[in-house]
Amino acid sequence: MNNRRYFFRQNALGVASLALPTMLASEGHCAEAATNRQTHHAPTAKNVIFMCQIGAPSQVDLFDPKPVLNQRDGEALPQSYLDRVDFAQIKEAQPKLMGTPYKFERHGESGQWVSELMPHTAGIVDHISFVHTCQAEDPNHMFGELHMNTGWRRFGRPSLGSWVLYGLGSESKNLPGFMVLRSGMHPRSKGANYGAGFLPGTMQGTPIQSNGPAILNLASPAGFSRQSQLATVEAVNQLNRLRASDNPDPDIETRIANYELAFKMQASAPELLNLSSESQETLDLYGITDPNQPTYARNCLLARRLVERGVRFVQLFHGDWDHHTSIYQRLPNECRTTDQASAALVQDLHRQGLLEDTLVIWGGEFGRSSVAQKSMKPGEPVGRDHHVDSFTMWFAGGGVSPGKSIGETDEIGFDAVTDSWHIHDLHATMLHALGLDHKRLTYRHEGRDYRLTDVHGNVKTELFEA
Amino acid sequence: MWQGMSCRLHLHSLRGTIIRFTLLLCAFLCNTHAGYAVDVSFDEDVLPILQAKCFRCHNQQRAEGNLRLDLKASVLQGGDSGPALIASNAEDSLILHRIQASDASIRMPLDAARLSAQEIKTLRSWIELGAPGLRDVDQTDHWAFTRISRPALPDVKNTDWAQNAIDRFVLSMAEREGVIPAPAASRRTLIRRLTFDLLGVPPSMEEVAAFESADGIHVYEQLVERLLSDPRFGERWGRHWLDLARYADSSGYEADRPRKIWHYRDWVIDALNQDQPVSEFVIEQFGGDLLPQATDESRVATGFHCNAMLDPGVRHEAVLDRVNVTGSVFLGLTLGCAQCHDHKTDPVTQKEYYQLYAFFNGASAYPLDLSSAELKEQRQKLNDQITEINQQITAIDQQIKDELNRLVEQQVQDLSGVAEGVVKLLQMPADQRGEPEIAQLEVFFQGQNEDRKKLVSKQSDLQNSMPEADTSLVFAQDNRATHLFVRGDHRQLGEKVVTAGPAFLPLLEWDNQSNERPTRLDLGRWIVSHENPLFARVTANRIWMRLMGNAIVEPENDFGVQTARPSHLELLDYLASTLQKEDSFKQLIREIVLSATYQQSSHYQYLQADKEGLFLSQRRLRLEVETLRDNALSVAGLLEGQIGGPSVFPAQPDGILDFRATPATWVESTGANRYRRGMYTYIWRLTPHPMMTLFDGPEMTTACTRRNRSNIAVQSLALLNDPVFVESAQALARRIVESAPTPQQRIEALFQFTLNRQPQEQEVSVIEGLLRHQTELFSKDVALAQLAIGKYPVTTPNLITHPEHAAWVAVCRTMMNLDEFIMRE
Repeated sequence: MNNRRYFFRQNALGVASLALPTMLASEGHCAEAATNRQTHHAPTAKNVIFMCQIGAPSQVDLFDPKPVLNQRDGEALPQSYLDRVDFAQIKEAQPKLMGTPYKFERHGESGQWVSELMPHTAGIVDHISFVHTCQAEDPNHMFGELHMNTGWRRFGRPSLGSWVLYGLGSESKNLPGFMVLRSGMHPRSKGANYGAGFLPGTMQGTPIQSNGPAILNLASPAGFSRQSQLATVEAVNQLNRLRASDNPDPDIETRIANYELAFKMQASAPELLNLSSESQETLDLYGITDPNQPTYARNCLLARRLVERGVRFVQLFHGDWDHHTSIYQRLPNECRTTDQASAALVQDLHRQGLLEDTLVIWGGEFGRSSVAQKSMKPGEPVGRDHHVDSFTMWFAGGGVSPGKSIGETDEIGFDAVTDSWHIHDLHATMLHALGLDHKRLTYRHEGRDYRLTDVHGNVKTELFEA
Repeated sequence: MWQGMSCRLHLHSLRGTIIRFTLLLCAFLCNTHAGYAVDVSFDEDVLPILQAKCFRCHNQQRAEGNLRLDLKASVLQGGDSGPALIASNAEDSLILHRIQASDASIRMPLDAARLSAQEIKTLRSWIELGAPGLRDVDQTDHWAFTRISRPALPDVKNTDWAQNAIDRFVLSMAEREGVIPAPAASRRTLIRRLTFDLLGVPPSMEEVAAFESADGIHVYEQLVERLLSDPRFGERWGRHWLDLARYADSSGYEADRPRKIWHYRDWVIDALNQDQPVSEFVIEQFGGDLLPQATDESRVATGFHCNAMLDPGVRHEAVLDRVNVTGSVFLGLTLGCAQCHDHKTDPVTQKEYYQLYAFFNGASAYPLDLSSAELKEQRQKLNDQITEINQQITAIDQQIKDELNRLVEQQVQDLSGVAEGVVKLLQMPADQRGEPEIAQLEVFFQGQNEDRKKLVSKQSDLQNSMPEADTSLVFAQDNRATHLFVRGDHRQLGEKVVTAGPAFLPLLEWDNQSNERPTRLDLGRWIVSHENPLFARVTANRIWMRLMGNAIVEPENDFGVQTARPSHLELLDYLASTLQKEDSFKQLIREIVLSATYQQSSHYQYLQADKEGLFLSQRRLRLEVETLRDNALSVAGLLEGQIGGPSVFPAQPDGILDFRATPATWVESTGANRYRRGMYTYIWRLTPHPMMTLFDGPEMTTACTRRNRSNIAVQSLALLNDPVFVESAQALARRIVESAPTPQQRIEALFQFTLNRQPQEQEVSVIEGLLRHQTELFSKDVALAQLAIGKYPVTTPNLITHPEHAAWVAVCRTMMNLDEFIMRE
């Protein structure tokens, strides 16, 4: 089956090669396969970096100040809320509102509010725009992650990056077009967050391992020098070409291209991963102390390096923001681990001239509640439970009009009082920036035309309007 | 307005006639102008739209607005709002108004996507044409829901080509289309294809040579028989079945705890090797525990559904999965769509979904002890000893309790070395001690007691030496009540439901003398009953797909009304009726592989010429992840043949198991267990062996009814550099070098070992060039050569220099990375 109802012509390399960063193109063969696919409309972004904050950061402690919530700290959550709210863990009959102990201030020319926990993000507010009324559905991490990263609350659907590769292909000749960088705790639903689902496997994210070898099997076997390896790969391809001359199956052509890319990756991936070409000033910008340590900060720098190398979609996963208890110890820690590097990535992209083409997204699978969650263990400090009705994400680059604060929540930061940005809306908007119409980017599977946004989603053009 | 008009039509026939005449005239004029398609068929064009978009609410069960669209009379008479359509008058037909309404509150279908412009045009044309063919429709009219009847063999012109009945169906369609089948593949390709397809390993050189040179008309049949009776058949087809069973060695979800269920894996292998009747095979997997003569084996068979991922906190998810997998694997239905609401396209209601749920909700998985008598006795003995020691410890503790005051007094005499906190406790007057203090003191004296210390350490030694029980997860009834989940939300329980089959399928019967409601066992029997057409069609279609690369019905896991009648329905029904009649997987597989259709060439020129669904060529298929490994190890002479047993832990890169919420272990297997077939590698669901992920292994979150066959660069990296493939190349290099003295002969052996064929001239020159080049490179650094040779040096001294030998390792790596090496052709 797998008919592509979409605008792709069956090219010489067939379905399986759509997203292949074809190396042959760089050598003058097969140039057609490497050119970008057509977009539905003029794009404002070419690449995406999604810094996915696994576990759900607390928006009322970071980006969405609620003075009234602070005033009402300790009051019971009104019954009207209790009647409909669906806490993941809170079991008490009368949970209490909990203000934030952190100071908020306005920053930058745009005067956006950021709490003291995110001083570096505060420093880039003129480059970014907040959306405070993001909305999820499933208060369970595993399904929430899947919803945020595949548009569907269960397993089996293609991830954001694979939809984008399906729509646009990749420009990178030496690396796969969709790369995944993980630090801290991994997403609970693992590879499903960057899988290709029912799309061709070429569109799946290639994860950089956060421990052990960064990319599996990059090193030639013991005893094989690069020259020896090259001669081996060349012989493989010579023999495969002989085979192809006898049997012109496009799969063989794809395989030949794959072997060239694989060999190039043996050099390009270590080159990508080796940060010694980065200046000390750059390492300091990100807060990287040991370039060999697989930290969030290193991943942020790698994200820039990937985009620089033409990789279409980079997804970072960082956990864990799931602060049900001890939030006032753990949240500052998590911010210290990530704030500087997240902000550095935007600054770095900006100064390298990459930001205007790169849509940067920061956010978790949902947010955290305005009420206190008491720990089951006596004496353990409080935290916040999950909250899906409204939470904050921020966006930068790729046509995003910077310095805005979009959406407003009620005085206790519970519900949106302006338009909600449902996950499907976020996805529709992301595709829109890339020049893709979420309603037309379809793939036929099991007798149905599937979309990233299912039957939902509205493009929020406000994000791009000055 | 039109409502009034319809009244007139009915009540005032005279005026009605006049109006109708006028309308007809209009329709005629409109027809001419709008250029409507003259050829609209109710069955082919209109019915699918009604089935997909309208019947859900306007059918026998629902009849919203008192309108049924499945009955001709109801369509014409209409419901609360009047006639649904006026023949030959599209403009005034209610149905067209409602599907095009701009007001979403009245636009049909309600709360669903609009009809496409094309669908609207089809309906309009059909109405304008006078709604020809409108009739009462039985919702089970869908091709897949009708009973299977054995089709008559069609006549064909070319009587030479067809080998068996399958070929008659394929050829007759080809002749109708004016196209011809691909020629037969070479004998070498055939034996390779067949051995990969039936056993999942390559044939040996000798087997290929014997087959190529054999005479006689039954040579191919004999080969097929040999392979069907080879025990590796059960492994190969067992692995296919395990994909459907979402088999894994851990529970999945965040916790992903280890679970023992490999006996189920072995049961599948065994059942397939013994060619257990398909009906029994299925029935035991549904209700082997409920059989009147249930055995350990039949209980182990229920592991099929015990394989569902399980997190006790969301137990209902496992039950939902069992229903959904029953749909996708055994019925070809997307039942999951009915979890939150009535199925949008198939005649399955939400209530019926939960009636199926009730079958599985009444059971839970528990570990069945399958330990040998010896093991049981050994465990019993140890347990008895532990119990005895525990009694002794309890006695000591009681003594401490009884003599606490005396012990304290004694201890107070000498407080040296006693911790500060304890000293305070000891010095506390006896009458001030509360319960916690007493407890703490007891713990202190327990720790001081030498006899007790010895007993505790002995007990822990015994615990550690206790061999694990040999268990496997099986079903047992716990008879919970089932309620419908309102909008699919498990926290909102709706009406209570009991077990039953979906109404649109044949009646699910059971012995109501012994059971109040049908059980899982009855569900299994119903699935394989000959009245139920879905299981045989779905299964035959899937077996065909495994052997031909593509299925007759696509998608192969949805036989619902949205899936169009396949062009080769008769072929499918022939296969399905064979499966029902013979009740044997092997017989169906035999019949397919004996067909000329199966034996066609897979060369791209034929594939390209083939039209979709005609099956006039074979397909080249990349080997599955397990077969890739088995192929390399087999060619290297390393593959270990043991069938079954606990899962094993071959080498895997570091870091794979990090960042799990609960820890997992991977203690690398030693010796023969490193070289077992890929299907025996331990499967941690959350963190499977990286090769599994890389080469499209099943996700194991739910049934995998078909694997991807991706072709990406990181796979090439693995085939080039992964330790298993490198070691295989090293072992093969030694085989080649030791097999013959001259480079020429060795190159021939190389091609025979890896590809079962002679090299071509150009290939020889590529290999010779590579050998020269690599020898030169390795001569510059003999230490590198030794590393490249690894742990496979030649056993005869002075047979070959290290650089030359290392060059052969490079050559073997090259061969094992070839497209031809990793493809079944």
